Amino acid sequence: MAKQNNTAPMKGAVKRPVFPFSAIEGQQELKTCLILTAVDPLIGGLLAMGDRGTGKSTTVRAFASLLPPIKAVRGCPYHCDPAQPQSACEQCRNAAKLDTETIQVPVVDLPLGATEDRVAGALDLERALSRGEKVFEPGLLAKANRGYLYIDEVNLLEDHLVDLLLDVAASGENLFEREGLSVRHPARFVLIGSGNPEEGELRPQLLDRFGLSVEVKTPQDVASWVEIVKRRDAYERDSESFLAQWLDEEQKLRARIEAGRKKLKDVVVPDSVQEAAATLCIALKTDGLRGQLTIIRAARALAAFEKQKTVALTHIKRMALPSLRHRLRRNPLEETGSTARIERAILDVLGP
Amino acid sequence: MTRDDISDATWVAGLLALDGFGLGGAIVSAEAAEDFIAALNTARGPNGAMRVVSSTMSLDALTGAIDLAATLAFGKPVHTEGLLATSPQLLIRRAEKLDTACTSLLAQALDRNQMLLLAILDPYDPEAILAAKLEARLPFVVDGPTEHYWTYSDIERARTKIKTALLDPKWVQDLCDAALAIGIASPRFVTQAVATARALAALQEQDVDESTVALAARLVLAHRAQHAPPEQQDDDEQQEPPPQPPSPDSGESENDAEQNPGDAELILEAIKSALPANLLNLAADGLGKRGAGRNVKSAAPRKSGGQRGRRIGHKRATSLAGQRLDILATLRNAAPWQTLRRTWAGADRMVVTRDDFRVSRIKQRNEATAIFAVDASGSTAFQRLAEAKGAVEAILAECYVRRDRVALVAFRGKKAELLLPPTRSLERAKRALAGLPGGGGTPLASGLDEAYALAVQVRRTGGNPIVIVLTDGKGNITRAGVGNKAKAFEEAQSAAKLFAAEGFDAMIIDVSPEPQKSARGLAADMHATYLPMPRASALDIARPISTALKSISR
Repeated sequence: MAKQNNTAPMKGAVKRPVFPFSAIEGQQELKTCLILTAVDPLIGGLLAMGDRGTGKSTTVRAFASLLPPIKAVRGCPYHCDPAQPQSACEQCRNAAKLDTETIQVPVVDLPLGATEDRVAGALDLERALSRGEKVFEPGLLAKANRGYLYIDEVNLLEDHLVDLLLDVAASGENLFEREGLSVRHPARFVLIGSGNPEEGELRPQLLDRFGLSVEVKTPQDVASWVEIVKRRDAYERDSESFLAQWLDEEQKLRARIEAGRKKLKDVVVPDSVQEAAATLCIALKTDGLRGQLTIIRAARALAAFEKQKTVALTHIKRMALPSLRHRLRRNPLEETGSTARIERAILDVLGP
Repeated sequence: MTRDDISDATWVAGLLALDGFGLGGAIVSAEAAEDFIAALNTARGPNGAMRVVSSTMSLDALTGAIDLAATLAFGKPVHTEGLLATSPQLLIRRAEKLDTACTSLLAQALDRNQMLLLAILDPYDPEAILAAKLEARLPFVVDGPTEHYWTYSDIERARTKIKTALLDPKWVQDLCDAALAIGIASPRFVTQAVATARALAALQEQDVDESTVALAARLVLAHRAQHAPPEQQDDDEQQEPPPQPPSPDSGESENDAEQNPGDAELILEAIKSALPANLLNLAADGLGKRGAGRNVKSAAPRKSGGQRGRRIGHKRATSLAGQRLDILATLRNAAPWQTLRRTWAGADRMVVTRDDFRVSRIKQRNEATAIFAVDASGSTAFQRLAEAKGAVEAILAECYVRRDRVALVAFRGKKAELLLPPTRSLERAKRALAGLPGGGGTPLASGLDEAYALAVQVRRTGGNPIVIVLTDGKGNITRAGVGNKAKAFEEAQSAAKLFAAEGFDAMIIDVSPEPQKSARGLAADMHATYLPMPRASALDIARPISTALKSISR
């Protein structure tokens, strides 16, 4: 699978299946938000900030294996969508006939220390050395096209990579102009970032690129701990049968995501709900329109996932926190956290 | 020797020999390392000795890369295999120097149960901290003697039991109770303890019972304790914590759910026996956090010290003197021409000419770190502490846009204290500031010393320190913590002169109601900018500092 790409396969070591998404205890907000990015990828990514050891990475990796498979052009390094030639790469656009295959949604890990070559692509050394040909070797951005790009410790990402990501995320394309090569290829992906806020802040420009943001906390009650440890122990001891035990849940959830996707375009957003979202954003003085657009999109995806035909006020209320939490102007002297400010505003503007 | 009296380190050696990939590894102190590794290698037998690697290894060493010599010789790319694939049992010396990329990869390998890692920290640097990401994934700490106890056949016998060793679900409950009682931060560590208990049972060829659970708790949880477990008795016992178990009949409200209240206490007893002594003296109200026996700060992993600045690309080399050849870029540049050049030069291998040479372009990390030394003594505290706090926060808000860092030293009473190690985090700064009390004498010299030490450390790791002292300059406590105005003045003067000698950028903000001669004198000794701020608000203080920071960070 694409997510394994950073490491060579290990000799002798046992390759384990990933911990099932449905078996993750707690983390409700993170799980819901991840699902919504699958229902509507245009929501624009997710930022999960929290202490270490809260299971952020585990949850994201588990989510990867839950996603329904997609159709793609066979052999295309960008796995273009055969049904959408206008957003395909040059080769797929010009090809007379396209061979298709079904693949797993790519989930690509962007390691912190990755070089620009590795991320954006580079001259293919092998071809150049052996045959003297100038060929572009696609990087991680190409691999992540139509899928997910996951950056753990996104707040520690080097500035030059952040710049690169901002460009690509804004245009949906990777423009490569180096080493005598000129390549342009589609790179549309959902950005997932996680990190520990104690280790540093995100640059505001990057922060704004994330559609949703959640705060991940470790549960503090014994009962959840016991459940977490028991499930983890069962998985560590015999991952195959643990997976079999959760297979049913996983399939149900996958089917619900697919149903939500199909329903999405039919979900109606009444004017009154639009207005409520706008009033809330004005009351909170969020920067720009992106916040309001995200609330509406997320609320619509939530309604679709929950098999509703229209977006209701409750959907707005539930999505306001993850959509706006990272968009409030930060006043360093203000003691109240963003979460508390939004909760208060929801109560004031939208009522209990 | 019986199994009852083998040392903790010996148990860990057996555990890691048995299920190294499953358990992850250990942090090993430099003194204990030699014996421990010898014992572990013996017990691992034909499974291979630990592979010693340097923490300054490149990412390529882990993942594999192009083998340059072979590639040039054969005229086609030859790949080497990385350590992750060839020998996933690594021993890393000076592991605190691992860069973030290697750290991430190692952590991923540990998550997939594909790595056995022993980390040894620099014994000469008491502030060496392993990257939190790895620290959390290594269950054990080895700092005592290891005996040659386990043989390979012991381990092989245990291997057949490890999948079948039964663990009564009530132990999970008890371990969780015990972990929460000593402030363990994440259920991950309980999972590690459960896996350890299983492996211990396998080593002893029995099922999991109270002795294995208690031992697992001691090995995995005790060193992560944030505070001593709450005592059932009242506060009068706290001065001298009882080494004997608390009376079993005293009820414990949190443990209603469990069948046998004695078991969680048994685990806690085992943990207590291994707690660092200073923790036991602290009440379980969170005060213990700062005194935790080990460095569990979630500091960002340090950048490797050897190479300052990051590579931002490469450029054509006009001369190679003193520059580092970027071999990959050079090859890449030569590659497209090879077919042509080979026919032309009649060579049968790669032809590289002077024109192809590329050298790395390195950008110096010019990151500025603002070190605030705040006088929180009685003379300044009550009027100016709030402004000083506000100024630090305001600077921090700017710093995080510019990627600068902020650190905070406070001095009051008898000594100075580092409240906030260099950070970019608003949240940490806020928390550190909120907890800053005021009042007491002015140990000015100690405050300056602490700031100076920090500035030296920042410069050593390639940063650019600027020291900002908020004080009235009236020191009255000596370094030894004694009230003596004349001596304190002398000491402060000599401390200040150190800054001038090192040429650190410094600034003295005089926060007294009237500009003070003492503060002005101090600034002269430090070669620092002197700013009297008799009635400044937080933002007034922040403004000149922010200008100064901007000028040195770019």
